[in-house]
Amino acid sequence: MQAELLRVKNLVRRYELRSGLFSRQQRYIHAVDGVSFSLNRAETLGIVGESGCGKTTLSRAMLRLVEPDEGEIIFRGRDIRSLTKEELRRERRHMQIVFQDPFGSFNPRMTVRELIDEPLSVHSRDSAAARLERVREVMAKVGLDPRLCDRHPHEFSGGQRQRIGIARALVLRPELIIGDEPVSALDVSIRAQILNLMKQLQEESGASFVMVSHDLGAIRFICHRVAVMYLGRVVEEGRTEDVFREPLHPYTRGLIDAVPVPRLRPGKTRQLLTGEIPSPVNPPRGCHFHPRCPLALKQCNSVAPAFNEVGGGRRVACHLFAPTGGIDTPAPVPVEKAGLAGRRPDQH
Amino acid sequence: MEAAPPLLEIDGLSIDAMLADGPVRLVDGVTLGLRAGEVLGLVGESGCGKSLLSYSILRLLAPGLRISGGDIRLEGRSLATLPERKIRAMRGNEISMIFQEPMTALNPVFTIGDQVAEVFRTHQRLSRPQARAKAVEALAAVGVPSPEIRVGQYPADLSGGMRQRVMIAMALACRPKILIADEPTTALDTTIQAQILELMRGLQRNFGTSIVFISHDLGVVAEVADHVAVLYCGRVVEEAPVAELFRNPRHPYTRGLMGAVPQPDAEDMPDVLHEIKGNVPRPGHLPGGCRFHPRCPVARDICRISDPPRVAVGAQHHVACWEAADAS
Repeated sequence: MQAELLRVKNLVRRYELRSGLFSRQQRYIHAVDGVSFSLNRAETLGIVGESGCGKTTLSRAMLRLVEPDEGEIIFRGRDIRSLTKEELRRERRHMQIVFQDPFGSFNPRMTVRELIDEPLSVHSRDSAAARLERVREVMAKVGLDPRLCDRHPHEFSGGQRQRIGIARALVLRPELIIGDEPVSALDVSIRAQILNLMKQLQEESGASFVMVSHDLGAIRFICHRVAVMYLGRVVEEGRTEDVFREPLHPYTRGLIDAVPVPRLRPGKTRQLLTGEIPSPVNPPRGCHFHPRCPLALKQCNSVAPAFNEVGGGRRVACHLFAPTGGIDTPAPVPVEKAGLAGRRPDQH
Repeated sequence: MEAAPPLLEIDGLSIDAMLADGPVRLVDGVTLGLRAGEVLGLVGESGCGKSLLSYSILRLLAPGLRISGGDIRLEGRSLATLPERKIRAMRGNEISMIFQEPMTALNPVFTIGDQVAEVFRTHQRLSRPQARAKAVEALAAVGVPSPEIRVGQYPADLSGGMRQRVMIAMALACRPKILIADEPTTALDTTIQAQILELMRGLQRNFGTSIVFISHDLGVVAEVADHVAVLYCGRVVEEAPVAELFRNPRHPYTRGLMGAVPQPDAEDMPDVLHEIKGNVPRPGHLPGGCRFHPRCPVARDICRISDPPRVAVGAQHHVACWEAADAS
């Protein structure tokens, strides 16, 4: 089934910077700067990038947990940006999120049963008995002993708590699950258990899954497709296997090469990226990546590359792969109009 | 390298937490050696004792923790019993340390220059201008761009990677024999981590500093260490030169850790990751026999009853596992 569940178009979320008393210009950080992608039913998409790339803001904005400033979010055929509060509340049962920190995201006074039941009691009209039945079923599914349902979260280890978080997300049988760094806080031996569980549950339930992470290995293991973000923009997107086997964007290549792997790799030449991740307050002009890019061309410091389709459902925002070139951004743009300035030709 | 006597010897070291209802052993009879010019990687999951072990070398254990057995020797001198005054003189001079979070280790109200210069003023009794000049030099040596500007800035003005470079500059200011690095790149982004690891390797080559490198990440250890010790529940379960360990891991826990990590640049991705079942047991609730046996895929009767001995399975390669003991 290749039906589309979610389409995000030109999503922008900016944060106002508090400016000085006499400053005339209002300045913004473009945390998410015109991101577009689509997600089919039963498909998994990884969003990967380093700090400040906007991946977490994007994951919140696509659920309207933070309000986007521009763009569309078509979920189950409707733009959820146009929904009223009440309509959105009802739609929420179809979209759930699993957070990174299984220690901070639960009310410590609630039992596991109450925690997992909470979404049900909000969204369903089932009887208490039917809901308990469902709670037990979901607990078993995520590998928790249903007999432990009256315990409190602090009695569980980190890995088990993340299972509770997954159970909470699954209990409503949502169509979309977002995982925000769901395994990053876990120990190596536990991480593998949770990754296997998430992959298996996604395949069984047929839910679509967006996994936001800085962990490239986890993304490659779980996701059908991957989008690589840098300073608020997607720089490369495609089928996971294609992107990891043959990264096209120099940033993707550098990122994959920078991951230390637990094996020997003698003689392998790696391209270490130089320089720092620039501040999103003052992103470099043209291609945001050009100051760190080992392959930068002349136009890269002035012209933002278009996000081009390069075949096989693969898109890259890089002049090396753009025969037609990008659009000119000749002068620094007044920031009030920055929403337009960051716009690329594929975004109309 | 083979015959050089260890610069630092950890000899049967045990560390206890003193709790109301008696001591709980957190590090249990660890024996390790660090040779001059070598990087020793200590790897393990939370609670394995790797950080305690490193803190105990500089006698920085938190109150309530104490060395309950064994010894630590630097060039033959016992550190476990040295008076506090002498230990203090040694910290920063002969052995120094860098930490995971460089923000909390730097003082936010002093400039970078003040903090780096302080090391030279304290340990080498240099004048202010001399110390300042040395600070600029030290920052340049760790790849901080325009160090003469950076010395006037505050920690908050610097990125995480730059702060860690400053910490490294401070730690190496007095050319210590040993640098203890406790998860120095864990808080950093992947591409910045790669730069810092590269920097540390370069400094180690140039200055001949010996490094104890603590990490939860077997991949990081594979990149920096010459010799690796794998810890589990307060014990060393396997140690070997890095190439030997990755070519021929013998302990089921080591093998499990290696298989549990999906590698982004692998040829093929498995459908199911290798899992280590169960959870890390809590200190004070350790299973009898081999501590890994409840999670071990090849555990046998003897593993439940009796602690495996440490056996040599190759040159400098030791493992504490009954399977290896029977084979040798």
